[in-house]
Amino acid sequence: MSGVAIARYLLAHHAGLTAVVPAARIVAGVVPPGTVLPAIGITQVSGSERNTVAGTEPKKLVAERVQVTILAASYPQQKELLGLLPSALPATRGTINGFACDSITPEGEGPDLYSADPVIYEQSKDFFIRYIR
Amino acid sequence: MTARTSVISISGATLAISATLPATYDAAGYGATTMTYTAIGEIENYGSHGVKANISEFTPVDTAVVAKIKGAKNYGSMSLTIGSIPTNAGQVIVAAAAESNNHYSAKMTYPDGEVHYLDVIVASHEYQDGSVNDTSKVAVELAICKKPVVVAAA
Repeated sequence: MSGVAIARYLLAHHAGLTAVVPAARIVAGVVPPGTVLPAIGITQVSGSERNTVAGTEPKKLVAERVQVTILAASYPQQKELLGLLPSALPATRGTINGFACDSITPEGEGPDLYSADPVIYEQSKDFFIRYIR
Repeated sequence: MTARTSVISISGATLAISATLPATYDAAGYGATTMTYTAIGEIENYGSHGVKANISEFTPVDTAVVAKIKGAKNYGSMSLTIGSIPTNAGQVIVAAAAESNNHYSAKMTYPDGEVHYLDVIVASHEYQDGSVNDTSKVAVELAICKKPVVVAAA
């Protein structure tokens, strides 16, 4: 969950991205049906903790695969938003919205998806977000 | 804790180190109140430890059967993989020990309370870096110089 929170905070505070998608339409979780496009949904695909044998260490390094899903009104808009993601979620280390972020690394893009009714141009990009919990 | 009557995982096992050597290499010596052990944090793999004997072989022609003779015993080494936190008190001692010729005392405590005391030399302390998705770790080898002193769980 914290990986999603870190990603959502960075995306919602990136001027270049919010010029196209208002921060209110950059949501943690799945974008609700009927949301005005473009919109961005941020979801967790998987997560794991670094385990030690003792298991008593007060802080743990957590790694989450976070998926950023673009829902756009046109194909060019879909690609424009996809192109903004690297600068909106750059390699980052430090405190982000109260979370101790260790690193953010891109982990590949998904295919072009299309819905005819309603018209939605969709594509996802994954990130590995590591933080200390 | 009670001694195990079935197999267990080592989840919860701990390892601590002391620069002090025991007066006697037995449970009483290692367990004395003068022995202060410092926990080594972030260990994710303990490897193995124990005895291996050198085996000499001799094959007489008439029998054509290999005869084996047990030779010198070697208590080997324990290879640790540790998440690197340079300020962790136990890791500080290990790093200093790697640069020293001194023996150290190690105390491994299993989840059921069984304890293994080890007389060790820190033979290596290597930083493991790797690539972008790898965790910063240290590989440490504890060369074990004596037979482990095993204290059974109560």
